[in-house]
Amino acid sequence: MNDLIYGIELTITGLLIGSMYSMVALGFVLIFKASSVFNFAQGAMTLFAALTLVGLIPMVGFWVALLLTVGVMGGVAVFAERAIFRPLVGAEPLVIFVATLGLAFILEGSAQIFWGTQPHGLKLGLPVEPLMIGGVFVSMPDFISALAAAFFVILLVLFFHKTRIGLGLRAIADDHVAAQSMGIQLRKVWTIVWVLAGIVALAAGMLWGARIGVHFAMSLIALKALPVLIIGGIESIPGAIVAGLIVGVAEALGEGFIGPLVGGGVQDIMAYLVALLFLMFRPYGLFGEEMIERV
Amino acid sequence: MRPGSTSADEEADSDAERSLDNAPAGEADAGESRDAISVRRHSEPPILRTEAISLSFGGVRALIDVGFDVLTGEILSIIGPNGAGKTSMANVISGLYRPTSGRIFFKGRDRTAFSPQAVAALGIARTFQNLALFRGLTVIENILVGRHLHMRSGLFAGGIHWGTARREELENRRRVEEIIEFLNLTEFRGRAADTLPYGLQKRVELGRSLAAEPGLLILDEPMAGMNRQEKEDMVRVVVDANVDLETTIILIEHDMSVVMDISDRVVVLDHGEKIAEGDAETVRQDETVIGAYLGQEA
Amino acid sequence: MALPDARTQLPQVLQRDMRYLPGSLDRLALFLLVGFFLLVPPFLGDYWLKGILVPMLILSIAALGLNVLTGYAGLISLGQAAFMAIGAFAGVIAYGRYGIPIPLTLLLAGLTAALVGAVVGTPSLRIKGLYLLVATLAAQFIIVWTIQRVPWIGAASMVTINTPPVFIGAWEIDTALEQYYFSLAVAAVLTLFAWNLTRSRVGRAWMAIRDHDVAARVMGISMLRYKLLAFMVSAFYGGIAGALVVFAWVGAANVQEYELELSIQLLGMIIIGGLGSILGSYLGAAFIALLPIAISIGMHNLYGIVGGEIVSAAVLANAEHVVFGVLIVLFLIFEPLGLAHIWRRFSSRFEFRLGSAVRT
Repeated sequence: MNDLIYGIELTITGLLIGSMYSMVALGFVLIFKASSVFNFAQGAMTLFAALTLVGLIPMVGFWVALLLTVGVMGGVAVFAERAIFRPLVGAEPLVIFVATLGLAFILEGSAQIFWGTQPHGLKLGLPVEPLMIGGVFVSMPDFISALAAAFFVILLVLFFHKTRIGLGLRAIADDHVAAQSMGIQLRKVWTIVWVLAGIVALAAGMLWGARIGVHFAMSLIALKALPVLIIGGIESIPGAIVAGLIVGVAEALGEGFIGPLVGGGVQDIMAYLVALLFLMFRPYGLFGEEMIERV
Repeated sequence: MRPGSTSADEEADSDAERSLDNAPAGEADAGESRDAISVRRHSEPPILRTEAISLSFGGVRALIDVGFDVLTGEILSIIGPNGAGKTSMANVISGLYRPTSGRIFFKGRDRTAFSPQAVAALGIARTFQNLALFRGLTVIENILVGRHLHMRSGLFAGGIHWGTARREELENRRRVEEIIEFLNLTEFRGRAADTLPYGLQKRVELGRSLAAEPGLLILDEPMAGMNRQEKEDMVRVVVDANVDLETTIILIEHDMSVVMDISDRVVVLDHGEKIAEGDAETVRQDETVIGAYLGQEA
Repeated sequence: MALPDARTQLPQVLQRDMRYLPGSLDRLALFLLVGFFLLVPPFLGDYWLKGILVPMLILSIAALGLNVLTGYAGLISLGQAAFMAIGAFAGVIAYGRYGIPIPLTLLLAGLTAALVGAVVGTPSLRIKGLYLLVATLAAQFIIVWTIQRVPWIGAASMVTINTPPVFIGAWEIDTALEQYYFSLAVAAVLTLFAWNLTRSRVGRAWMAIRDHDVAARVMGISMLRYKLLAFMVSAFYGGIAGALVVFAWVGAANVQEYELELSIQLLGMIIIGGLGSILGSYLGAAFIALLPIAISIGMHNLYGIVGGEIVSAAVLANAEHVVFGVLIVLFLIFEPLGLAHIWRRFSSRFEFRLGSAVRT
């Protein structure tokens, strides 16, 4: 019975954390759909955004710092698009992927040169007293983060499905040539995509920063969006959301039940283990479609 | 066919004939050996038999109950409008697609479920409609890959490269030079494949498949996108491969004049179904075939 | 043109085709390089040997392995550092705990890594590209994690395992110079093997898969055999490199040295050096080994000019990251075939000049 309640608590925690994975993975999917860029630098962008934010807060206060960070991330996005990805338009997806590896190193290095390598705390002033729901214990900060992540997920989905820019992005995802002939400017759209990536990174950086502090490991956590993507199916929006939740729950349960047996750290690899299982048995993910190779 | 194209076709016909005359063996010899093959051919079982092949991709039916025989030593052409299922058929035969139903026999043995690799090991080679060369390799290396199944060297022999492995490499490079000469590629032998003009790349691809010394060779539109000179060269090489190297050939081709000129028999596909089969003249007169082609032109 | 009289000249032409280095400038360069690596090191200090040359050779071996997989067979991997870790721990256990002679220990380290490489490579039969990439990323994390947590390996309590003094027979490898020559010998053997292999039937099969896997299958090339073989050879080289880290460089196996970052750096090395090139693996490793020195000198000079404080190690490390990232991007955009291609262009221009000079 105790195990059951423990399991339920872990599952809830997992779902709450998973919602943050869903958010980051969703950012990946949207960028991938619109530009075929598989962005390894998403983790580094998260770290960059969070470090910038916590660096600026003592100087100008939270809200101004937040605004400034949005501006900085926009600048990073425009820079990445102009200097790196525009010259590589038409290159193979793997080449562009490797370029994002380079971008990741640039961002991590420069953020830590500028703001230093020591971990920072990020206090958003959220209530900390835990919730008790029907005898089950729920962490309040996690709950609020999850709400924020869910809000962001809804915002992203609405953006893609309801706004003119979002529809343009989807048109490009379906057919580059046709979208161009409809007068949608690829360049402009790609810039928007990168700005979007920057904003998702900032949101993730804030939520995780509040949870675990702002430091280098953050980029490794955001990197888990890659296995999440594989699990959900690389181009599927519902896939990213569901897979994020699955990974969150698997991590929480794994850490809770298996962790004590092996000396902890199960959450570091759980996402990759689940992704490997999918790659072995269902390589196109939960919602992805198997592509028929035309010869 | 468009009425306006007849004169051009006739021209191509006679060109093809002339290039046959230029074949090294000489006109009379070539004629005789072809006749000899025809006689032998009818006394042998088919090298390849396809029975009621159907293929569908998630509801789209690419092939419906297609079946035909390929006789040893012949040139069998598969023709049909775009989307008729010609390339699908080639992919089924070479093991790239598993047919939804139907069976394939090679030299009398069922090999429907064979992988492309196993099909290659049986001695079936092919070229592709779109260029499928190994872009980073030279002409020599591309054709050497065609020798893959005739070579044995594995990890250690290759890594140590001494004795047998070296001799094997040398011997196969010699075979490759023969093919390079046969295809008049000597001038380009050391060039990277992707730096060659289109027509030459097509020829290298043919060379690569010939290097496998296949019993059955599938050519998927080997002349697509070529100018007339390039086409003539290619026709000559295909006929030479058929006559001198005694290779049975399945030819998928759009150019009707070429098909009519060099095919022993023709199979016509339309919307995934076989609508006619027979020698070139019979097929040319066939009402359904004319209908299918007129339908496409209109 | 190339064959004036095919019948009499053919054997010579074929022999010439099979030469290792067709160009005379290439041969001269190789001769000078071998001369340098054999004769100069005794005159160099320990800083050069242990700080630059030995790590450079070890990284070259690991990069060479990765280049076989990524550059030749076209299968990208973010897990090479994990195979080094396997080699390091297999080595230190085999030699330190069981006293297996060093040459056999190296082989065992390579083979253990190769075995795991075969397992990691299995998904490559069904998936490729970005999917495969995530599989190798997963392998990187899972392997390092497992090494830390399996009690038998013994890395959990101490993280680092030291090796006892290294003997080959009666020869103790304890000076920096001996460690250097030991690494050089291993690197030479492995380089020659890879050089032969990539020019053989196996190497051509890999490149065929890389350039057009459907056509390769139709030519009878087995995906199962050659993809797994590429993973195994690649992991084997990684494993030996890892064992050399223990026996010829650091003297200990430390799991924290083999994190994802090293895997990415190895990938960066072969991109900067040249994908699908033996030479490129070396050029890339040399470039990355020398980069920190160049950056440190550059930064100190810069600070000397602007009159700032002494540069901290953390800033240097991060500056290295930035420069490394910038280099990857620049090479991808401007010279995707890497330093090796720059050399090839230079040497063929030289041959051309030489040729025309002889003719006139």
